[in-house]
Order: sequence, then C-alpha cells, then structure tokens
Amino acid sequence: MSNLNDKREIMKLHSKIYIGNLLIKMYYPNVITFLIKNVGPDEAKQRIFRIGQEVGREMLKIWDPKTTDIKKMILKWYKLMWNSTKYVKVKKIKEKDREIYRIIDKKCGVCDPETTIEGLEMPCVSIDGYLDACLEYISARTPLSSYKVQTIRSIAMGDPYCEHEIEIKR
Amino acid sequence: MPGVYKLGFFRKLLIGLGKRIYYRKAEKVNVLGVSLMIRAVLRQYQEVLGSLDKAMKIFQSQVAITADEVITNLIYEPLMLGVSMSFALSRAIQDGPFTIHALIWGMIGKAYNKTFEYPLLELNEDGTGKFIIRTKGKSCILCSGVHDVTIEDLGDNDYGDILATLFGTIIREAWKYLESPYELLESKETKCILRGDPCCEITISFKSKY
Repeated sequence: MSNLNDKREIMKLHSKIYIGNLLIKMYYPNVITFLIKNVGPDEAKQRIFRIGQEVGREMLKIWDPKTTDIKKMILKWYKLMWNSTKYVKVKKIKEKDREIYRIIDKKCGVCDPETTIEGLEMPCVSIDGYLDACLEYISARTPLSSYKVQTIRSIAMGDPYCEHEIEIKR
Repeated sequence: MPGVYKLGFFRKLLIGLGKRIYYRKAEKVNVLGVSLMIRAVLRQYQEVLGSLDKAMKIFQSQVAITADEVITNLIYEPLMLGVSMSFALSRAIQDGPFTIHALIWGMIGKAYNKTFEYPLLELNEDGTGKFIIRTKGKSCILCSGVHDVTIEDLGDNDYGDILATLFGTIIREAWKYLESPYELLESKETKCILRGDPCCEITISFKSKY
C-alpha cells in the first residue's frame, strides 16, 4: 500500500486539476437507474445523497476552506468542484425564526437537460449531500442549531435551473 | 474510407491546437471530486450487491456503455467549427500514442504532464502489439482518492479497470469507425499503486486482423 503522506500530497495536487464533465453527466443517470432498480426510489434518493455527502466530507478534509460564512462557503465549493460560479447564485432570506439560502444553478454539474431520468423526483440530490457536508463543516466550527437541505427544482425534470434550499433554524 | 491514412505534420498541429480549445471550452469538474465520487458510488453498489467484486463488474459494464455513447458523440457530432473528433483519427497504428495523448489531454488539459507519461506503443512483427498508458509515479487520477481498499478487498479485480474499460471502449469504437486493420484484444490494468506498484499502468493489447 502506498505511503499515506504521499497520497495526501497527490490528493492536494488533484484537488487543483479539472477534467471535462461530459463523462460524469453521461454516467450519472446510470447510477440513479441502477439504484432505483435495486433499492427503490426512496432508498435510492438517500444513497445518492450519501454519495454527495461522502465526497463533500473527504474534499473538505483536503481543502479545509477555513470559513464559516455559508454563502461564501457554497460559492467557494462550486468554484472548487466545477471551476466556475458563473451560473450559480445564492440568495439569502432572513426570517424571524429561520434563515433560508436558495442556491440557483443554471448549469448543474450532474443534470443533463437532454437526459430524462425517470423514477426519481430530484436527480441532483447528490448536490444536497455536498451542501450538507459544507454545513456539517461549518457547524463543527460555529454550531448551527438545526438545518435541512433539499432540492426544489431540477434541470433533469424539465425545470430551467436546479434550485437547492438550505433552511437553518435559529 | 473514414479517417486519414497517416497524421501529417499540419494535422497534428491542428489537433494540438484543437485539444487546447476543446479543453478550455468544456464544462469541467474537479479530478479529486470525480475519484472520490467513483469510490462513493462503488461503496453504494457494494452495499447493495454484497461485494466489491460484483460492484466493480456492474460499474465497469456501465462505464463501457457510457464510453460507447461518448465516443459515438465525439466521432459523429461536431466538437467545434463543424469538425468532429474523426479529424484526429488515423489508420496508422504508429499514430496511436499521439491520438491517445490528444484524447486524454482534451479531457484533463495541461495537468496531463503532471499525471500521465506519454503513451507507449509496442508493435511486434507478427502484427500483435500493445499501447501502454502509465501514470507519473503515484499520481493516478483514479486511485489517489482511495484509502479504504485493501489488496484483499480487490481480490482478482483491478481498480484501474474502470479507466482501462473507458480507454479500451474508446479505441475499439474508433477502430470500428475507421475500419482499422487491427482489433482490440484486451484492455487491462497491469500495475496499480493500490497493489503496491510504483505507478498505475493500463495495457491495451491488439492484433492485426490479417
């Protein structure tokens, strides 16, 4: 087995390299279809969420962004993962007992507008997993009381953009 | 006959320029993110199917289908300025390393130089041969994010067969399109850092049809 210190260095190097996303976009529907077929749509949704969460946690270990600002963190995350924030907007809505962040993504990294994925309401639920990992990271530094992440619009379902919502209770 | 007999200097120059423009224009994703995602997907498949062995087999079969779709798109659909990837395809086996290099470069950009060696071609007199694609030391874009797979977990499987399947499918389909006099025999990972090798290596073996 290779030396872990070397590996960490290589992972750091790889966290600065970008490859074409075409394969991922074309491959992603296979993962969803496979999971729906084998465990049903509800469990598939949870498992896809976990995939995003695991990736998010591991990347944050390597990346360690040292910020607790949610909006900054989300935009930094998109920049790191897809090398661009050109098509992403984060809206913050403050209410009496909660804060809501709406993440509008006009060019989702996993949804392909030409590929319809049947059987799962919001296929880009893996992005919720990434966002959850970001909140977990922030919460470990500045505790958040309770939060919930969900996808409310998805390009793969025919919406013009993907929209993820983070709700944080005060 | 599709493709060209041999890649000339001018065509190679245009391919060199084309791969740069293609990479620059392409939507991108973080390499570490992808390798971690593959591992996370495999972990889910493993839980559902009961073993890493079954998970990897299913995963590879899905990669082959996707690679087939991708290469068909790349060959037949214009990538830019009305030109498709078929412009870069030649029937001369000696052009193989150049084309493989251009293809990987088009996907990964100038980071190619940090992660891969230039592909090698070994051609025998009996018409058999192989392409060898080697990573630069331990800098494998697939295995670097993996720290929880032991040699025992792998069993007879090779983690890098995911990439080998991808490259093998692309070459097989490109040769089919070109009506190449060569046919692909096998695309396999032959070295892997997860098995303690100093680098990862994919060997694509082929033979002459005639």
